[in-house]
Amino acid sequence: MSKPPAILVEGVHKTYRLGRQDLHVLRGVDCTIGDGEFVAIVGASGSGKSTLLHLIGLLDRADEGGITLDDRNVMGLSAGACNRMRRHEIGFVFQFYHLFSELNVLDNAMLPAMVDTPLLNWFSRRKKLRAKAAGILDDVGLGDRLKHRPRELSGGERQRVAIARALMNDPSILLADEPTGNLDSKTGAKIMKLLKRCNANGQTILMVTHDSDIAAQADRILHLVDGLMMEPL
Amino acid sequence: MYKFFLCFRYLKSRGIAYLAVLGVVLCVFMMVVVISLFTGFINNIEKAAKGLFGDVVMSAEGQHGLAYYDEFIAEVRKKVPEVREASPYILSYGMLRISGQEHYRNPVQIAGIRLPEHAEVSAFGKGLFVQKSGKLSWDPPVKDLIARIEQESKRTGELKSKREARKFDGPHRPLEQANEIERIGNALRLQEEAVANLRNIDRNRAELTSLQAQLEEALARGVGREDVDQGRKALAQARADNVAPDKIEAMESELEALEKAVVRLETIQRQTSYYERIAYENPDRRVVLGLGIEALSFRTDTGDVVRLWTPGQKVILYVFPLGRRSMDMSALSPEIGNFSVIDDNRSGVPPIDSAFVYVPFETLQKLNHMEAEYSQEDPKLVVAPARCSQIIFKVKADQPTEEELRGISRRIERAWLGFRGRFPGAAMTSVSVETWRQRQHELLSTVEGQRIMMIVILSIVSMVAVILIFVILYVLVMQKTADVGILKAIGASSTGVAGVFLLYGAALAAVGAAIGVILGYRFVRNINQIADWLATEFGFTPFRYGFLFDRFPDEIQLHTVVWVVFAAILAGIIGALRPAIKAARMQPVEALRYE
Ligand SMILES: Nc1ncnc2c1ncn2[C@@H]1O[C@H](COP(=O)(O)OP(=O)(O)OP(=O)(O)O)[C@@H](O)[C@H]1O
Ligand SMILES: [Mg+2]
Repeated sequence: MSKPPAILVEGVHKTYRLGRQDLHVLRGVDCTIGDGEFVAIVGASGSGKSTLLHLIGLLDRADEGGITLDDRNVMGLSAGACNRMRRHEIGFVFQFYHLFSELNVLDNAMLPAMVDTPLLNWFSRRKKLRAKAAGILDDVGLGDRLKHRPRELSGGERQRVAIARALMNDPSILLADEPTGNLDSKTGAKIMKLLKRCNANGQTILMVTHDSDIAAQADRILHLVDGLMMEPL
Repeated sequence: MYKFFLCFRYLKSRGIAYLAVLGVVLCVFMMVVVISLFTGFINNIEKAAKGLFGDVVMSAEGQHGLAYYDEFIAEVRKKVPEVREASPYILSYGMLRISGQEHYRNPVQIAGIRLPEHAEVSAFGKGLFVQKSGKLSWDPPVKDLIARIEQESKRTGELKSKREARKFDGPHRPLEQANEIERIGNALRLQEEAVANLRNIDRNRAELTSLQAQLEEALARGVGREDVDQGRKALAQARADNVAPDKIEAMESELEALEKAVVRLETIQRQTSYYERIAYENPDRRVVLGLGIEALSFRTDTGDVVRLWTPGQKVILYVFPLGRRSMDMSALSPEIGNFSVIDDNRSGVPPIDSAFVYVPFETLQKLNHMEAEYSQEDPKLVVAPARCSQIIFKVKADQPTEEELRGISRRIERAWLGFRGRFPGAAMTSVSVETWRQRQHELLSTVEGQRIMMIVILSIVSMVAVILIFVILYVLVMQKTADVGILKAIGASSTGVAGVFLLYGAALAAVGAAIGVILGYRFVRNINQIADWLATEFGFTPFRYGFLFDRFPDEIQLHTVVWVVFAAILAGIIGALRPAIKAARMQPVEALRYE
């Protein structure tokens, strides 16, 4: 373990407040994910997997505990620094794809680059970024669908666009929340192949899934039970 | 960068957004039209008001008048070199009667002016009808009269056929329509007669002199209708007395010749008297009418002017003298003068044009009891100097600012202070010197106030557009919650997300404003054609022109457009503000859960 871990979660608590009732979802989660690892999180529905992933992806704040990404403690980061981390360090893939229906495949994939580029620099960088997005889409097998709208694609194709989008800014960490949850096993296998290829390129991958077959393809499986992380024996 | 991109894409694909655009189009259209029209009206009034009284006017306080005006003008020329021209002016009140229209008597304001000087200190010359060019005088050449009246009768003829061709379906004031056509017809007949007479006179100018000699000689001989009657009686007597047929024949041919001579005499008489009326009569007794004086011209309901006067038309002016004798009983008895109309004038200021007539300065000075008075013993000794009511100044600068004019006013006032000490008759007179803008302040500020009120009302109406943008963007933000979540998940800042929607609101407004400006521009540029079309096709004349303006102003000022577009975009941003803040405050997780 010469390199620091990519993700370090220490004693994280998260409680949702629903009216008067408190829902204590995460009760001191600890886990370490090494740089370049491919880890799957499994657990019962409602066990807090998505919640944990959102905390790691800086989409939400933990109530207690510490999260360190690439050796940086993110708990006290300012909003601006958080945004920068999200843009550069983290790629997020959602179960429901969440693509922009007004944009075509290429523009959807390019969006993170657009967000990262000030207006004045856009014109000089546009060509390069477009070529890069087209390259990534070609890698995920959508090289001939660049001008299509999301609604003209199948579920698997949409998820591949979402993955291409997550890869656009070359994040070191890729977070995927049930990326195959809505796909049949054959399409799911394709997505897994894609994720493994990313992993082979050095990206750390943390994936949430229900499917034990899918989870088995990861380097390591973590179980989330009753708000605590259990490593299988 | 993504803000512009997303905003553009949303703009392209959101059907409901066009409703907001439509709202902005309507509001911007109204604003552009109303502001342009009002600004045009104000500019017209300002221009007219400025033309009315030159740049600076000096008036005496009270009705007494200003003495030694010519001397003072010479003094001002020396002391205030910025002044280019100056002319004295008399204003009095009186009554107008028109010969041939016994029932007509109307109060008028009578202005005594010098020509051509008055035209050099004001825009008077530009508003004249007959004397369009050349040196203005109270005795215009007959050739000019012919040319103008001929043109006018042609125009009146066209107007008549236009009005006759106009169809009115339904119960559309048929009587009024017929009356108007008849009035235009009358005017046309008068004008055609005048042209024929003037032509005849001009062509036979040489013959006329001999005609006049003939006339005088014939009158001296006592040739007249009575001679013919007597001849007839004598012939009848001769027939009754059975006089020899050859003698009767001789009498008959003699009578025939006599009758011919009488007819000829009468023609000569008519022609000479007409010519005298317009050419030889005392040039002191000439009058220029304000184009708007009732009974001498009228305006059709399509806004066209029809002139009922022809050159030589007789009018009678009763002047109520305001001069020095006005303190005794003679003030109650008006001075009466016969005048013949030679021209009309349109200043563009309605209350002026419907109430003013213009006569020679010296004529009015006498009628108004402002002329010089001489000693009984020594007719060379002036007891009381001649007076005028005002002096109108025109400065050398082409477009003087109000500041400059006020400076000049003060210097003229100072010049008067120095001047009046040297003239005992002027010593007590205090004066006020005002710029044209100060004089017209009331008129201008009323219209200005109306303009501001219209803009305020329209701004309130335009809140509809703001609310429309607000509602539509609110709906959009709700629909696009997931998009907002994604944007945040990939690292867009809260202000960036808000920017997308603010930009979107601004863009909706900008598109609407652009279309509204184009439509407003085309409407204002063609407003007169539209009004004409409404009038001729449907008899729809919602705008009673009165004598306010012939045409709608169809100018659009660049600053109006810039201002309206700016306001529209600002309104768009304001409408988008609340939805944008809502989007910015959304937590990414919440936003993404929204499915
Ligand atoms: N914003 C929220 N407000 C209130 N409760 C929430 C919120 N988000 C999640 N929860 C609750 O927290 C618990 C954990 O939710 P989470 O989505 O993390 O579960 P999960 O493990 O991802 O389940 P699944 O496998 O079904 O996706 C659930 O009981 C859920 O109802
Ligand atoms: Mg989940």
